[in-house]
Amino acid sequence: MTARTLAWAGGGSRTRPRRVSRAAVSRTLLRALLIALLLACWQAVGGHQWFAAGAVPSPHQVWDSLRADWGDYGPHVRATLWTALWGFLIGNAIGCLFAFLFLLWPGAAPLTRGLLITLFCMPIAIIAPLLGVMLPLAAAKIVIASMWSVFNMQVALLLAMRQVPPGALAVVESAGGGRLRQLLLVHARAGLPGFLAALQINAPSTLLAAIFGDFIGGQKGIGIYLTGLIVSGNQARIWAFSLVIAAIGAALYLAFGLLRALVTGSDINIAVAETAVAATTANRGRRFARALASAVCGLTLVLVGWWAFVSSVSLPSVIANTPLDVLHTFTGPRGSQVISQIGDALASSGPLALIGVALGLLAALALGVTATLAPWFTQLVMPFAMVFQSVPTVAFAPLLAIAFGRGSLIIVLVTVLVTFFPAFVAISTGLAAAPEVPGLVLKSAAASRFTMLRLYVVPQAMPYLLAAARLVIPLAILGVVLAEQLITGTGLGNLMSQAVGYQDFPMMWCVTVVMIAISVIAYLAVEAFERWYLARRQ
Amino acid sequence: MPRHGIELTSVSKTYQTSKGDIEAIREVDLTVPEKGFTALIGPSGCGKSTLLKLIGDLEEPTGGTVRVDGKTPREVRRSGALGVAFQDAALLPWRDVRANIALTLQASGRKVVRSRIDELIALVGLTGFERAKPAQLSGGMRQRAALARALATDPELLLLDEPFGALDELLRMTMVLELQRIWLDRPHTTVLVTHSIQEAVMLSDSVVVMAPHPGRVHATVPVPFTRPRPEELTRSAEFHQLCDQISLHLAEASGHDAAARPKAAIGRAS
Repeated sequence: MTARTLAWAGGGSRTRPRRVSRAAVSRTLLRALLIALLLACWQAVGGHQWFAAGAVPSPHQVWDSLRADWGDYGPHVRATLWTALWGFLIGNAIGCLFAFLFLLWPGAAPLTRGLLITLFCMPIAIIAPLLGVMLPLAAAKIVIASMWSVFNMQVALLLAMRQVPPGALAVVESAGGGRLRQLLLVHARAGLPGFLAALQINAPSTLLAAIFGDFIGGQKGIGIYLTGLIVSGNQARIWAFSLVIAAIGAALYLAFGLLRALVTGSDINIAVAETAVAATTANRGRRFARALASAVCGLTLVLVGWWAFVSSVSLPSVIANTPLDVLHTFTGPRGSQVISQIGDALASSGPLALIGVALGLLAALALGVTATLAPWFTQLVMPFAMVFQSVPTVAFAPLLAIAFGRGSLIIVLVTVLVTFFPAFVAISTGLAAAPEVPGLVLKSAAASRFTMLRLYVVPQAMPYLLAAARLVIPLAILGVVLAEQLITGTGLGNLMSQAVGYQDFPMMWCVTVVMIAISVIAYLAVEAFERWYLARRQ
Repeated sequence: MPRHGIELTSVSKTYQTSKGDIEAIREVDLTVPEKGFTALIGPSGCGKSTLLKLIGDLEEPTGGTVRVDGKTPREVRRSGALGVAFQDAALLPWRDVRANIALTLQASGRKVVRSRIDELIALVGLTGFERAKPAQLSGGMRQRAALARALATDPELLLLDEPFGALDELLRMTMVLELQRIWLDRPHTTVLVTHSIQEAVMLSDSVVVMAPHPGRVHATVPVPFTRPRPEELTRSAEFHQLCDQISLHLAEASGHDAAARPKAAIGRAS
């Protein structure tokens, strides 16, 4: 534990070298070379019949499309960024409120956890159509953009606020200050690194969510423009716009990263931070009781919230279903048909998605672990991986379809793509902060490289792998749904599209409920495994 | 002609960092006889830990040669004849005591014999804690396990980098006596890096005092006491005289006067 804390403290601070070293220059040159090489490969592949039947445009075709379409981008990008900004402000503000609430009243945390996890796991592509029906268009889009931020902010801010020197609290108390003074004078400042880290993670993910909000409808928005391009079928134009989206996501991530480096100079990895939280529970009996209470409370809150929301909008109950209405659909005359349709849809994509996530995680583990043998490699590719982690990779799903066809393989590919980068970044940063001495001990015993990996590096990487697995769940589900709706025409995504087409509200509600349940259960299952694994090995 | 023991000839080490070169060690000559016990002592930044890593092939010198029984450090390390322990016990948290001690055997691809591991556990006084995970052990117990792990491969060369540096004074003396017992049981060629003059005098045949910036050998002080050295020795006049002599060397090496000495002795090597 101390080793990890020290590694954090040590690894976090970044000192600015007074003069640029030769190593840094050669690294930059190598990166530039790598980019040039990638562009050259792309140019070679692009426009040739021997790859993907010539469906991949070459860089200069993409460049031409970019220049031709540039004037059209502005209003669409502005509209989505405006939605994203509101969602970002609201989601993070709610996350902060929850963090302060849990700090002042820790008992509230397990009770509302279920609600926050549900928000974090929300399959926004599935709930978007329903929200679009129930709320005014602009409001629905903002709600969708805000949902993913709440949990990240709450977790990161609370964790950072709790890392205060105990003496500091005693000093405020001895000077006559109460809990509120402690909060303002000590905790709030301590929480700053966590706050900024959460902002950095949330900025690109809010953009992604806002893009999916666009699919509800409207005149202007990135998602709307992208849909139009996909319909037009012009590959070079799709590529050009996808790259613009990626650049915006990366720019947001880098800008907030710069802000964080300027203000705090610290580098907390959210995945790591959460792992630490997951590992701190003891006593099996009490833990079970607490988990049960938390589950019951979380479910109740979600159901009550749902009910309250549905009753607050003045829509007929045929459209705005309550939990009871959904239950009636399942148990009523249509029940068996609905269940079999949902079951078939799940069976078609579920296993493929699982395979994709597993492959993505395994690839991240394999690359992250072997990269420790060649630190220069990690240093070389890390900036790219960081940027890719923030890029809305899901937006590239249509491009994958062009290159790899519309078969079910695409589900696997999308989930691999979505899973790999966050997992690779989490594992690499985790391993970079790993204590040095065990490696020296193994080296002293003449351990081969493979033995070193097997005995030390892989077990050391496991907590980060598990944390990453938990955190990519919403993204993976989003990727699958998108691929189903846009490309394969199968699964729950397609079932939802059909239900929206037929205005079949009971079906829409059933699919939504099942999808949310699957997301939350997947999250809780990975988390339970993580806790079990960490407790067992300590 | 192969020579026995450790022989360092004009060894230098310079680190290249983004802020420029840092000269950690400049032209160090040092001999440790076979089955000898040498202590390295010196203020922060004198390169004693670096020197230890060079002997163990955990780092490579930028100048000069290191030989152990006539072989290069790499040959020694590759042959599995090296045991190391650091201030950070660095036990793997997911392995129990037994599995942690077996780690170096597994790492070098050797067979793990359960009875041999349990012998080592008994040797370092951890019997009854075979199944305990590191989180359940005290600091002293973790260091015992780390020591047993270093001994598990039955090394010819034992390198110890402040193995008791994180322990309190009382526990430290207990561990020093334990280490002496273990070493007498089977003497390995041993190099110990330490901040404690008492620890150095209790354990070693000769104390090498190093000076900082860049690291170099300032003086070598032989320790004449016969073994086993009992705890009472620490209260004898001869012991104190020798300690005083070494602390004078240390003060010279640090470039401070005697009043500044305790600070130099307490400071941690980075």
